[in-house]
Amino acid sequence: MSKVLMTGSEAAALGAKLSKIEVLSYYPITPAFPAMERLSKYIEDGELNCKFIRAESDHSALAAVLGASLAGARSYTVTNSQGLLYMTEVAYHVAGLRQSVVMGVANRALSAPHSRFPEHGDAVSQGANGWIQIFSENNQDILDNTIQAFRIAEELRTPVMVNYEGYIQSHTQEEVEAPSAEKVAAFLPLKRMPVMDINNPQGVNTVTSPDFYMDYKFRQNEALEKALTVIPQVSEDYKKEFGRDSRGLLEAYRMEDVEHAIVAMGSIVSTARLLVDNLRSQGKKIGLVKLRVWRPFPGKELYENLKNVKYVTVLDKNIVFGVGGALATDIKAAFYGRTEMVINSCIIGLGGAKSGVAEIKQAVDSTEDCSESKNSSVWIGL
Amino acid sequence: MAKELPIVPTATPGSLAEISAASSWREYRPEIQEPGKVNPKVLFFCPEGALFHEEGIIAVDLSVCKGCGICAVESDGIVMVPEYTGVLGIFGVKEGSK
Repeated sequence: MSKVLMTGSEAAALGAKLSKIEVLSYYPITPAFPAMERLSKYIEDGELNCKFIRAESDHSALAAVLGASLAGARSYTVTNSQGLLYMTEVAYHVAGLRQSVVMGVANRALSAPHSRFPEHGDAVSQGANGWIQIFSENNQDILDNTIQAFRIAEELRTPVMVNYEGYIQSHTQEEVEAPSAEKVAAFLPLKRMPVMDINNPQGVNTVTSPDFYMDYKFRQNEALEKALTVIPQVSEDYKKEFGRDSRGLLEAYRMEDVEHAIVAMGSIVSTARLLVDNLRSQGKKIGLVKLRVWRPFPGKELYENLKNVKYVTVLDKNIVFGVGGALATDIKAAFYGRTEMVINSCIIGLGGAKSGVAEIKQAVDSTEDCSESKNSSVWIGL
Repeated sequence: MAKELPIVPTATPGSLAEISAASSWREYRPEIQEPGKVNPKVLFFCPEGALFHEEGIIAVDLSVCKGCGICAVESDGIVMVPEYTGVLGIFGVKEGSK
């Protein structure tokens, strides 16, 4: 397997190309656009046999991808921030119609005030729309997650968002191991599941009475719950085929005998690893849990990894106004009644605010300072 | 226990839901099962004007009907039946059960 220096956007595009997408649609937005530029070049150079639909809006781009998927094509798009918000209506359609669409999201802060910098607010805004959400720590993750996303989506007939952060990942080069197209094709056989057929026309998404609506939603939720089993299986199969361990739902890093655990997702995980190594060398019993999958929320698996710790510092690169960080809120809900630990929601890195080792250390310290109030929330770096 | 449903909510041909855009809204369609029992005043209750007289008999224009079911409530002789079948059958619902 060859190692190549590439940006996160290029890794996303390569993942989609290796997955042999057949239709993509896109409306330009920063910082997601380089992935689409690269895919468009693959098509122009004859390296990818794919129909590229230039849409007049993000809403239309996802609608085009939805239509292609209903016709049986393996379909893909990328977006971020306001574009993702504009797609929201169609995102619910894609999930409710059980289409195996994969979307790369180069996470960017939401307006207003206007920002072009990274955070997870856009992804978190879609936390109830029925899509599986996977977060990427680095560019290798972006490539691996994109390929696995198609297999997960097609197995569960549920769409998947592959999140990676704007600029920090989308525009930054790292070494990435690129698997061969032949091996990816073997890992990812095309499961064509057309709903629309010109010779057998049928209405899609017709009005559904109260007699059936809840049943459809039950089945949709059932698929998300099944994802908690399917995602680790796909991760294991990927490891067997390509030798890289994506760790299923989450990764426990240096979690042996810890008193204090950091929980995070996305690029900040790498920075937190540095801090954990540093503090461990000073004798502090601290570890890290990298959450790879946020939707469905792996509460049980998280609890198994965190049940014996005294402090949990949750690094939330998002804010749910009036509530706190989305990840910390999910953890508190999943752990309710089962633990005495301090769970500290640390709002960090919003709109590209600095979130380095020093800021994460500040978050860790704040957790140990707040044992009086066990469900605290602090803002780091104001 | 949730009902067995097609994975993708669809309406298949033969279900009449393909006749027009309006009819694709329907989950159920009115079926006049006992014409002699239909109250002619039901014409005034249809919000879409889908009911009409035809040689003294009340009939339904299914290209206009949106399946609201008001007619079946307001008159005897009209029964709402499931509109479409999906890939797994009629959702396990017997025709005329609603």
